[in-house]
Amino acid sequence: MFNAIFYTQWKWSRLLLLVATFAGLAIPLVSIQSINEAYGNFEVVHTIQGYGIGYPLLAACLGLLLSLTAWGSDHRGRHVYALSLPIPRWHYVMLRYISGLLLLLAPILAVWIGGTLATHFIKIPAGLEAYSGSLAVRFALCALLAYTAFFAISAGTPRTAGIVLGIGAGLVAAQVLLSAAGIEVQLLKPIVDGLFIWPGPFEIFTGRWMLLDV
Amino acid sequence: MSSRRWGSVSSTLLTAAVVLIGLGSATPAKAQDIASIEARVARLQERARALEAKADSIAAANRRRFAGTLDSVEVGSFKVLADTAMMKDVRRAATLAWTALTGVFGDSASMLLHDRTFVAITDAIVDSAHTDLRWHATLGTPVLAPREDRVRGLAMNLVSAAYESFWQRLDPAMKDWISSPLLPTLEPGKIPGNSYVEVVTAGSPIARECFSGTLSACRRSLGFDRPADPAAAWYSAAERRALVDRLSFSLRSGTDRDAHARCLHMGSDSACSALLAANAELVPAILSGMTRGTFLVTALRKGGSGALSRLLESSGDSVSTRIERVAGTRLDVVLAEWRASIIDARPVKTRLAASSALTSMFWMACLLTLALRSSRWR
Amino acid sequence: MTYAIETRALRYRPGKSFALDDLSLHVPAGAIYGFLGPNGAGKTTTIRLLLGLLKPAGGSVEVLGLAIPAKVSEALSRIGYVPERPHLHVSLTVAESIRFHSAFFPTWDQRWASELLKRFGLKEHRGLRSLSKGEMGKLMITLALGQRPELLVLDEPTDGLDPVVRRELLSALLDYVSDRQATVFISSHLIHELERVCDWVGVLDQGKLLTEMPMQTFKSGIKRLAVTNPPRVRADAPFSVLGREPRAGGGETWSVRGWEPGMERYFAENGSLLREIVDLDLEEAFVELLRTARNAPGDMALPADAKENLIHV
Repeated sequence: MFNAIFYTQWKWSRLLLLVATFAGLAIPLVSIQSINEAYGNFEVVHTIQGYGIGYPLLAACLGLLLSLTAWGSDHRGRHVYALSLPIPRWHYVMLRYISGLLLLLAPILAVWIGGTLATHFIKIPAGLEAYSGSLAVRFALCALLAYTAFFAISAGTPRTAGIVLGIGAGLVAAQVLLSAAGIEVQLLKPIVDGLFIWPGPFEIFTGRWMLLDV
Repeated sequence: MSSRRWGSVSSTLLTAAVVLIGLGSATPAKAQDIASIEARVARLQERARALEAKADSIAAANRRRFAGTLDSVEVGSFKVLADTAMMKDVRRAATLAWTALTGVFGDSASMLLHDRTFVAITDAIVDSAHTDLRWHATLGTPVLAPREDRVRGLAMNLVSAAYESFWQRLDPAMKDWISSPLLPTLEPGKIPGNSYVEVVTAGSPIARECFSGTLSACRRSLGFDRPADPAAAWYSAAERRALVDRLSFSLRSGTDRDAHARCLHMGSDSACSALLAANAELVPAILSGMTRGTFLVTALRKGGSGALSRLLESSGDSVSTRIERVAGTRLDVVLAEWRASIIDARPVKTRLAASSALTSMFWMACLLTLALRSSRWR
Repeated sequence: MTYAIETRALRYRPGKSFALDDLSLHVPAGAIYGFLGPNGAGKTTTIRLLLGLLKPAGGSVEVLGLAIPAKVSEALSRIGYVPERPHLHVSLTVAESIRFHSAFFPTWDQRWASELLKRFGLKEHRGLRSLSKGEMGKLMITLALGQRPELLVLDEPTDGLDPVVRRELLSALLDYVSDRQATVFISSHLIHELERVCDWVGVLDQGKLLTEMPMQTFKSGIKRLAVTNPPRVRADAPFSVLGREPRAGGGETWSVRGWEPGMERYFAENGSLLREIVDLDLEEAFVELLRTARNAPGDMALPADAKENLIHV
């Protein structure tokens, strides 16, 4: 059963995984390319920091797209096939989820290998340390979290997804209207803070994404 | 007619009058025209008086429009005018700013404010017609109270105004040493993490010695005494080569292209050293102006009451001597304190905090539970 | 009698315009049960309720002796289902679809499935996107039969298919049923198609079950009568009156069921004249039944005995 589900998910997402794996491998390698041109380690750290945004962005996009591909075919068939299979719904959801988790391993490993290779081939300037392992773990957690969040939304009914997206869009629209009317009420800030400041669910995205750091 | 429209009409008319008067005075006068010119000048003067009266009435209208809504708050030496609706925020911002300012400059911080009155303006006023902003500017120095994070935003703008005043009052020798204005901060006890990164990662081994605890190295890193050949004194052969590479554009404009090529392509340190010695003024200090600024702030904080006066009034002596006077203690003591604060400022570690990892796993479990509750009813 | 499918007072209301009311279905085990009804009658909704794809608002469902939805997974493992529209993962090939599907059914018979593929002329390497409508129908039947189900639930399986493919599918279906004594619940609005294969019939219209009976009973004795000077319908009438309406030129047209030779006497005894007796085929009977039911708001226009005869179990 698991093999069957895993195979379909692999088939649907292999192109995405290929691109993500390539990107995961490339970001650390590219980030160290300009190190030789940097003057002083301060610039090295700044250069590395500049590439840092690539990791959470990749993790978020990967999580979103992988969850969409996991459910895309079922959504198109209005879940009739999935629901007519003789397994409980939670079992089916779990199999799809675990398949996605396993598929995520490829880009996660790519980030780790890319980081390890990148730091292996350069002479790390004195005063700096390589954090390829830590970076890969952070990337893994972010990718898994993004995948789980979007997976949970996708696994729901269109109504659930509509409610979640509707609330988000409604808040943004309300904030725009309030700002346009000159009414100084912050609707989004507390929500964004709640999501991205510890112990919010997405705090892990806001850490320092450094391959090399002090 | 609204006061705003009156504002734009009056400024147009005033401009026209001035241009006409200018044209009138610039036109060569003939003897027979003198009487008519005088009459014309009289007419224009009359017109200018009328326009001035109109401008006064517009100002009065504005005063009537805003005066009822404005109130003032005084915290320390900060006097801030603001709309009554945001007085609570303004008071908190002024308190925050004054605490931050006295944290660096002590009670002498009032010297930097010159009894100035600040006017807190909102984004709406900035976005509105110039007359509103201009009228507010007549009441004092406008400072923005931004829509987002208003209290901290306004406090930062008030502190920035004081720092700007501080920078303007510094003498050239001190300015030359620091090289860039001090970064205003609301947390004076907290040195920016960038300074830590800079000290730890600076190109010169001297900075790393400083980090390890050699105070004489800290002194050299901060560039109190700039040697005649800084490249030879501060940097290693590899760093000199990297420096030549980095400064290639400026150095090429010089004449010794051969030395440049030998330095970069053949790795000749003598060529690199010669090039940098000939362009000593281009060789950057070990630590940046931002980090030197943190040192000055440490000295000011150490010096306590009167430190600012001593800094602004001193001149003539070397920078290090003046800083000793400001801090009221030996330079080594300030250096040690500064080094300790730099080490305290170590940025958040790149290593993943266990709390973050556990929290994200907790949320994953919550979200997965939600997903597993996915209904089969469609 | 044991039932493969049994619902009691099943109710479902997806929106304001449509509701399934007090549906009580009884599908005998081993029967080929034709579930007839016009488009929009609620056939697909009923099937989805039977398979636990929709949540009923009331009533109960039992399939193969298992309560739905409580034991839906167990029931589904013994049911072959062909939905109204293709529902498979279209990015897969035929072989991949079969591999995927078979993984969920412990009773899957790969040899039998391969035979079916061969019989239908389906190539395993073909992608589902490239299959024609007929080929897709064949694949779905293969998947449904390959698991060796005890119950086949087919929702308009031959709708839109050409007669050749339709015949191929029905033939495979009948072979399987005769071989395994499985129950088939097949919904369709193609009356003639069901007439040939079904031994039971249920008619659904506007969410209500109008009738449910053996096909033979449904087909037999349905006549249209032209009556002059029509009598009142007596309780002891030997036939069931499905409907009566005025006839151009005087008299009435009656639709009756259970007509047998010699019943003309009933009219003579009541001072009426029976002018004409017309035989109706299954489709006409079906149309007549729907027409009668639809023209009867509440119980007013429908004769009491006709109302009684609408539902026979």
